[in-house]
Amino acid sequence: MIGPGLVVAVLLLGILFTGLWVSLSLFSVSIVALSIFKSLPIERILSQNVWNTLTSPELLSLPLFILMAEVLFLTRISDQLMRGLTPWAAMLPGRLAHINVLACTIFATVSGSSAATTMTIGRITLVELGARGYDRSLIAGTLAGAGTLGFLIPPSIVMIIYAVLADVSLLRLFLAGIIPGFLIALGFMAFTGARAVMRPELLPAEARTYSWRERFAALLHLAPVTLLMLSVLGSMYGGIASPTEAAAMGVLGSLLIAALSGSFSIANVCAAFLRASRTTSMLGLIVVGASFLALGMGYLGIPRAVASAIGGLDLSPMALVATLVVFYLVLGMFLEGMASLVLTLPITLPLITQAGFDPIWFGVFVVITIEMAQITPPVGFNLFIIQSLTKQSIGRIARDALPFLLIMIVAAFVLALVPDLALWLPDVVMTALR
Amino acid sequence: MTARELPWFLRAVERLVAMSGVLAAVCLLALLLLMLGELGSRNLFGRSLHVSWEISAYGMAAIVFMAAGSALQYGVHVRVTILSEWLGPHGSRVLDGLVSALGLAVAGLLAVVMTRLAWGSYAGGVMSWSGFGIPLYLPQALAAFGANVFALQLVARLVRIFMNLAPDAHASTEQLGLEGQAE
Repeated sequence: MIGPGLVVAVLLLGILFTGLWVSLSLFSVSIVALSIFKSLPIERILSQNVWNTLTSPELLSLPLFILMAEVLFLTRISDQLMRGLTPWAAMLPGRLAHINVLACTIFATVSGSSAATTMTIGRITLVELGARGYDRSLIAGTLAGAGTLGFLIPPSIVMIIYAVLADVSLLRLFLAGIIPGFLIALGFMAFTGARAVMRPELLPAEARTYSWRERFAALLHLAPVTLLMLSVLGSMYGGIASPTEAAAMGVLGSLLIAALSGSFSIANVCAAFLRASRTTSMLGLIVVGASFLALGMGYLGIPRAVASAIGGLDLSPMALVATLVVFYLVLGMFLEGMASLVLTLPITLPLITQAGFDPIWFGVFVVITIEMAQITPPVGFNLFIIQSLTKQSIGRIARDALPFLLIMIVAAFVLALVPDLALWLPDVVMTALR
Repeated sequence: MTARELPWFLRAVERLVAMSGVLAAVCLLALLLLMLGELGSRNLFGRSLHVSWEISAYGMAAIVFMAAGSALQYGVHVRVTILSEWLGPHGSRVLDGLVSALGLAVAGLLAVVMTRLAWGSYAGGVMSWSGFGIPLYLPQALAAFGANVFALQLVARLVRIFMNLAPDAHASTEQLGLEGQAE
């Protein structure tokens, strides 16, 4: 059974390397491997699999959360976050250097994408903080790291895809990401504060102080994003809306915010719908391609073969986790995070559940590894976005982001040692909902 | 070369692709309204519309296929670009041609199987699962249409590469939105 596995791996890497679009690569490898090793009615299986995957109800929240991010991009929400958070961040050691982490963490509660989070927050903070004299590499680094939280803190587009492919409850998975997400944000802030204390020259000398009155008045700027967060997360966990309906509510709320902030125009909104459908198409095709590849691999018995081969190595659970962290780090250097998730899931998920880990736990773990992939060169989405905003080199931004990558690696191991960090909250909330 | 001077085939395909993309956006709007309607109906009147879930799921399939060609035009579909960056301008153009041909083979197969699926549902009179009596060939035909447009866009891409034009009509024009940056 090693034969088909090897053929699939070599084919996949080879085809991806040529630059064929990821979604079509997934289809092609599965089609070729099935035609070589099995005689099956591939046509019928392909069309049925594509149709069933695309019409599964769990996938429906995907286009709506994408649309929500596109509409929020039209609003002044990042500007408001900056104003609302500035007087509070000024109290911390490191002052406004924390703005990126704080703003990204809050924005992540209404955004499902790390690219959208980095882009929306970065286009305001990079300019503002730069103008105030904060060190450029400190700002770029905090943005690169914190922007990735869009994937871990719900809602999350990656989690939707994982839930569909791994067949787990999306609501549960969303909850599982919250505590690890906030802990990583705290880790980022601790590092930023420590760095600022040790190297005060990274911050501007003069700092404005704010009165308590100003601080509380500033909170008003955070009202729109807070209301939006409550309507999305609150409706899901209040039990009145499914994730898809909550996403629809989020789109409505974002449209309202856009209208109130004066950035609403028919042309803008139409463009947002068009862009959202294109992104949905890209991700949707990757999901069906991955699903068809998983089906193909299943027919060929590859996951079982790999699982028993790795099982034969008799790795301890922690050694397995360490292997996976390294594996995903290396893969994430060359592949976009979402692609490395869908490519590997058919193999790694059975492997990890066989080793006694919970599939929900693995969902959170794998999302953290995908976040790492966003900031590892040469291919990392967040690096590209920050490059487009700052015009610095990818290598330079990756170096600035390195400490944040290390924090995420530590977080992955901590999560493996204490799985309850992810699993406690879903258990509590889901029991209360019942 | 301006848009007016493009051969009729490219102009026609690119217009068809744009139209299909607009249809996908309309499906997205419908999906949004259906979900809001479902949410409202369940919480205000205490009853589910049921059919909204089913139609939304068909809408999703329609969006994914109907926007696929447009996503290609705008350079939204992700790919690994290491080899083409390494090859330089001429080599990467040849490679892009080969990759587009390979892509056309896969997308063409997808178009064929999706068309056959819709045709099979039509010929067999297959109805949807939920008992609302929606003939399954209707949503499947939309998906099949999108899959065919996607394949056509790959043909157009090949023609563009042969003619030494920019392979993706809009890849560099869209810098404002999120997706232009996500590449």
